[in-house]
Amino acid sequence: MIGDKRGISRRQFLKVTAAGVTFGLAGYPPFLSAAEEVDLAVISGEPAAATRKALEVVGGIARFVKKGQRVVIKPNMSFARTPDFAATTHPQVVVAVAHACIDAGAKEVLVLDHTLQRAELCLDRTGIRDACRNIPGVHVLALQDRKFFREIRIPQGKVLERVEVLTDLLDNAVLINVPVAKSHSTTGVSLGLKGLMGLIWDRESFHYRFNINEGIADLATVIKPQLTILDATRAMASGGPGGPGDVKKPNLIIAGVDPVAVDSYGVGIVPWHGRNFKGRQVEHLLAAHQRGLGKIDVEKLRIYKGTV
Amino acid sequence: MRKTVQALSLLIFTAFFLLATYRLPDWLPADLYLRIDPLLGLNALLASREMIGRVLWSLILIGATLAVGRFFCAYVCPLGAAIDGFDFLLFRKVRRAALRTDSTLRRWKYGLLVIFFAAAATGVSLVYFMDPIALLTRFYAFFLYPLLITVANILLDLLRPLFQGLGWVGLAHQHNPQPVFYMTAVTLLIFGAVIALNRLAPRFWCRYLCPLGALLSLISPLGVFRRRVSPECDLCMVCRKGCPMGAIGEDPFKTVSADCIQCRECAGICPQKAISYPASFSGVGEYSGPDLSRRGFVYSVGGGLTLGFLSLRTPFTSLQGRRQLIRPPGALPETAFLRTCIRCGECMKSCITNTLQPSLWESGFSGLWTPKLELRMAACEPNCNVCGKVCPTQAIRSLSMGLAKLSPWQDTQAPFFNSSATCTLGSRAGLAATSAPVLPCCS
Repeated sequence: MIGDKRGISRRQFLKVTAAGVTFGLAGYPPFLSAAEEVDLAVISGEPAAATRKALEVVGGIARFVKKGQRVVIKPNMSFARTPDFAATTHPQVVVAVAHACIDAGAKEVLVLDHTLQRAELCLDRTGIRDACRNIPGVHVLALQDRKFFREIRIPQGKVLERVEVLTDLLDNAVLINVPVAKSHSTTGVSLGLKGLMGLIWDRESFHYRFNINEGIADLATVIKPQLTILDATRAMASGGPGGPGDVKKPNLIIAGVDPVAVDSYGVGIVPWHGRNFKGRQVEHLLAAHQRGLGKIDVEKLRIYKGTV
Repeated sequence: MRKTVQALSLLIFTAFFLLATYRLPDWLPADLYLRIDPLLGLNALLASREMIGRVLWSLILIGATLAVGRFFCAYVCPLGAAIDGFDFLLFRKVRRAALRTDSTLRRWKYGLLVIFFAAAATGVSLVYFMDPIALLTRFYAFFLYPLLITVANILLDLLRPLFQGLGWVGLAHQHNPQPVFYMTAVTLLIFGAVIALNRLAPRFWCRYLCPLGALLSLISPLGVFRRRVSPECDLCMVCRKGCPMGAIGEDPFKTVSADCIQCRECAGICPQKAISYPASFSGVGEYSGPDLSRRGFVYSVGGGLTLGFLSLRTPFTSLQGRRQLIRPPGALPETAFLRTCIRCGECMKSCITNTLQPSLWESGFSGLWTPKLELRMAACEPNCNVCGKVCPTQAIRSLSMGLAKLSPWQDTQAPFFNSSATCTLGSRAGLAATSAPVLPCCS
């Protein structure tokens, strides 16, 4: 086709492109971009409805999940507890996210966690497996064997050089973190970043071999959820992570792309262990913030608050 | 026909064994075979001196044996089926001459039976060691079941690439937690010995050792079906050689009715077709009881009492209540527990967290194979309590879960429930600390 004059010329191409860009910039409706401008969606309401609303506010699931993609949803189902203990993510939150992913054309949705207690019991008791049973393409799996993990390097790691993560997470899967808000005996609170420990094989060594807070920050440099949806419909304000503890009912869903921002907001919603805290007072959040993984100061965030 | 029934019975036994998981519905007695075993039941009653509801199931077998005879050994007993199966596999072609000590050995099972009952009278449960159903359940629990899981996982690993290729996500991620137990090797050795003894004589175990067979043979001669030999018999003695129980003596017209298990092997191999098993209601007239001599009986009683003495008069016994061995939730107080537990291993098999493990000497000689909570394995799952559901002698009681109640037994070694009605024992790898006052849990 060289020398063929029937195509458009370079000049024509530049002209049309410039016109298009100009037109696009000028005519870009601000009400559409507003959705992407918020850092956090904080929605009050019933678990499923609030989750759907939060997804809409952060830009719609289509912003994160494209047709034909594999999605990993990481709820907290580490403990064989019913939802009222607030030790695990509410099944309705998981279902709402899974449905949205399937509707957005996801090829397959894996709901995964490396549970602390027996896989079978966790799947049963948390209600997550039952809730997802009738959604085609959604598989709820609790993995407790090393063969399902693969080692990756942590180039920016301070205490961890490498870590074995769930193989399903690799190979370009979209990761959506759906933690529950609860207190934690070691890290103070367990929200989104702490929840990432459910995606690795050796979670024990975090508790005795090195500083767990730096370990979580190291992990956050390699496991980066595209979206974090914090289930604070209930919050276990003490007695975490396993409970039983003091269960409060903030009735909130907090969603955002920035994992540190979501967690930092989550720190402020209830008094933990009987005291009020800020994100900066949580060592692993501060460490993650200092590594440049996200914003920690809630007052500097653009927050959409709503009720459904 | 008999082999089909036997195989079916073994299959049912296996199926019930596999059903003993934490999903077991309340109405299903997964421990059925153990419940209908009158030997285990009577020993538990005698040793514990308590009425045990589930032991009443054994009236089924007692009644059936009274009516029909000792058919249990030939048709129902899963260990008998296993012995016959292995006999066919391993010793089918081995020529086994009649043992010269046959008549002496034949008394052993009665001696053992007396020993067990005498020990039970002193409050020591020993029968578990040789009861066929408990023995086989233990072998299943501590050896076969872990082996089954190992093999299943190997197969899953081999087929995993296929599952991944086919997009079968569930199977591609399937992995069964491997149960592990103390005393697996010991249990295998004992079962292996039971099978190996067949090399000496067919059904060596059933003929000479089995205490359940001995107990059933006390009442089986009252059953209605008897072996009858018609005058067509030409004394070829094929039946005498072929009888797996050695129940036919020098005179082929006579039957040692206590040892006849109604397998009808003789009727099948008789060249003259002279043997039949008609129903006859002549009753006690032909009763031939056990051939245990008076001296043997006295020795056995003495032996049982001595074993009881040896087991009970040790520091273990006096420290029982104070020892820190943690029993399954709902277990009877230690002393009563040791007397009632039949060491079948059903609770340990069904334990979902693999926390329940057989003890060796931790609670003394009388505590062999009893279940203990080994919290280094995993925390006990407080909402499960399947161990109470499958305990055939209710040494572990079935708890109604959810509410903690104050126990009348203060020495109960059961998990502790805190004020929010949740067991905190080991909920964090055994390191749970609770500020709430703890109550022993027993309903």
